[in-house]
Amino acid sequence: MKRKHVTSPVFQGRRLLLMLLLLVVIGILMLRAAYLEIFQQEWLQKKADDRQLRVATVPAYRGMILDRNGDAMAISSPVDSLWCNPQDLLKAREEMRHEYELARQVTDATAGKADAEEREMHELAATRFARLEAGFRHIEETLEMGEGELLRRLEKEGNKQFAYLGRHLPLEVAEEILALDLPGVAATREYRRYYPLGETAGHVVGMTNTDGVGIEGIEKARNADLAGKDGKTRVVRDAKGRLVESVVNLEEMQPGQNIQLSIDRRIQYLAYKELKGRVYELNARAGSMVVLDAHTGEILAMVNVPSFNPNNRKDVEPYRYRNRAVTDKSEPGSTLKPLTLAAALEARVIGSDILIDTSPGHISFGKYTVKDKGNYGPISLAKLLAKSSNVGASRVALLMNPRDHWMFLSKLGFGRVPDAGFSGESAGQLTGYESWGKVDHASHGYGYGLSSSLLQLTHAYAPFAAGGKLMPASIYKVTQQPLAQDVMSAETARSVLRMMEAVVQKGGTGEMAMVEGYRVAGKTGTAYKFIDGKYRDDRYLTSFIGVAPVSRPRLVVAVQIDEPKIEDSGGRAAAPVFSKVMAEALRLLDIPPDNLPDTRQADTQPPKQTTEGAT
Amino acid sequence: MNRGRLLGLGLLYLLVIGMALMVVANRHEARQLFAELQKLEKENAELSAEWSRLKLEQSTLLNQVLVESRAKQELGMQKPSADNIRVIRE
Repeated sequence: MKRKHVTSPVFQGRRLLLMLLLLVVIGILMLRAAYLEIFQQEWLQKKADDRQLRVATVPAYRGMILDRNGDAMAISSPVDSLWCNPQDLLKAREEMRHEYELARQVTDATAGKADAEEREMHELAATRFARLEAGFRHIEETLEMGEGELLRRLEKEGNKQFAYLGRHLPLEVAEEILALDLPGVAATREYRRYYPLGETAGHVVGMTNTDGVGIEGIEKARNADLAGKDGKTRVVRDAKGRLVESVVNLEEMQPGQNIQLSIDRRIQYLAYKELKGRVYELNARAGSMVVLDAHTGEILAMVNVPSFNPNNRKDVEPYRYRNRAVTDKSEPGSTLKPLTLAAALEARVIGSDILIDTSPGHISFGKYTVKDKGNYGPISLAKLLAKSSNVGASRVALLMNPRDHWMFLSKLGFGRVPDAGFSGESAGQLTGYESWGKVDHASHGYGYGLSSSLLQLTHAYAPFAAGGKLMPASIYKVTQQPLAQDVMSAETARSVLRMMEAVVQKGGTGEMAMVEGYRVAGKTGTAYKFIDGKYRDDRYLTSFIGVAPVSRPRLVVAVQIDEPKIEDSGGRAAAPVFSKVMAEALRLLDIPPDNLPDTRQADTQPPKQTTEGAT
Repeated sequence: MNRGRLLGLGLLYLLVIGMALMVVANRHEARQLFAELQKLEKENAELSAEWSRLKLEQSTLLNQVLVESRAKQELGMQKPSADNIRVIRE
């Protein structure tokens, strides 16, 4: 069959033209598509990625700071920081308010009979507005702002592109606003640091700033370990900014490490409470206290008054930040005398049963005179400490070769940074013995002419409680015992401890440091301040350092109170604090009493030293 | 020979279509899993917020001064005096 070719004379040209035109258009489109796909592909892909792909930061969890028993001293808790584009948000809010008012009018005017659908819509708008307002109020409450303050602030920043609605909000509060799905509002996950112990441990633990960087204490000293490393991941976002897909992990997030301190928070709390009470009672300028485990060198508690609460960064004046026990150095005064006796015993210039003649109660070096409170005559070394005789201590010091004396003090850590793990530790001051005159040498005997921090001084007492061995001081829990340094013989340690026991007895200067059930040895101290070229007798530091229990010594507790306003000589200001804290610390650490009524008699006989493990 | 080749081609074609569908399904599943992951991460954050809140509460309740005063007042306990202590050494 052959089809007859019929040609329409009229439409032929028109049809051809139309088809040609269509072909051209399609051709152009295809060329364009090919051009975009082949030549512009890279650029376009980049544009698309710019819109969808974001590099999101995965914040690393900041490690906890734990006490020696694993109880938390600093915890990070997730919070949301809400931010917005003030322009968009204010516009959205205005619209919502408009709808809200409209809805009110509608319900008022048409009570009941209006279109159900329309009413529903208006009601929805009304509740949304109410919820936004409630959310704002909530933020204001959480951040302790006045009513309406947040809105005023937003209006002030109305021309900017970015403003924080609130930083570090609890998750529920942020969720309230986010649930409204407002334009230009988003949240960033952050961590807020909480310190359960508050001001009790402010100086030791320190604190972080709003960006989570440690700025004080351990938080600062170990910031890198605690912080970990933020991760980075590339994600796809949809138009509303929600994450759709995680494309690739660029950097793995490394959570921060936990750090365990040597602090026992129970002792820490108690020490702070007692010290604070005493400092206020005496109307003193400041106070510090250190509790040290002599056998391991661990610092069980370290407190300072005035302190600060790291949970609340608002009201902190700089002087409150100072960890005085570590950063402030002062002349130790009489608390150095037991060390003088130990140095002399070690240098073998005296025996422990020697009598020192202190008459006539003063001793002159040219224009300087060292005085005692009275003429004690010839006294034993124990009595020298109990009476805190300056003349006696000077005499003993002068018996020694200055070099030996200096060496001894230096070995105990005077003039050296203790390196216990804090930032800003003071090294104190110990001048070379070559430059000592006779006066200087004598004054080193009773605690002037050199200076130390309270931590150094406490640490220097540790050998008395550890059989003459000095363990490096540490604020971190000691898991592997470091090498001890032999600084004096066990015999010297024991005999000086016995002498110091006389101080803490009825009639001694440290009478008020007694602890029921335990034998305590210690030394009081009063150090006058050197201001404007002379020693002021109205401004002084009063201190007490003691060791317990004497039969099996373990703890060293040092208390120092700065400028008590109420006239109070010797260690009477500091000793009661010592007594309370030492008693509780011994009880909390399960250290068996060695001075119970029925064992007192047994003490006169040689003590039955059986096995090491007690109770 | 010709038929075999055609069959092979058809199979390959089907394979390609199948693979393409699997890619789509996979991608979809990945996104769903990611959404779930996000939900779980959020839950994790909420739980850890709760945990730290409880930890804080615990530490306030464990405050030994509080414990001591409650033991004294509510349970009528007292600290043993030195007379009441016996040390047993093994």
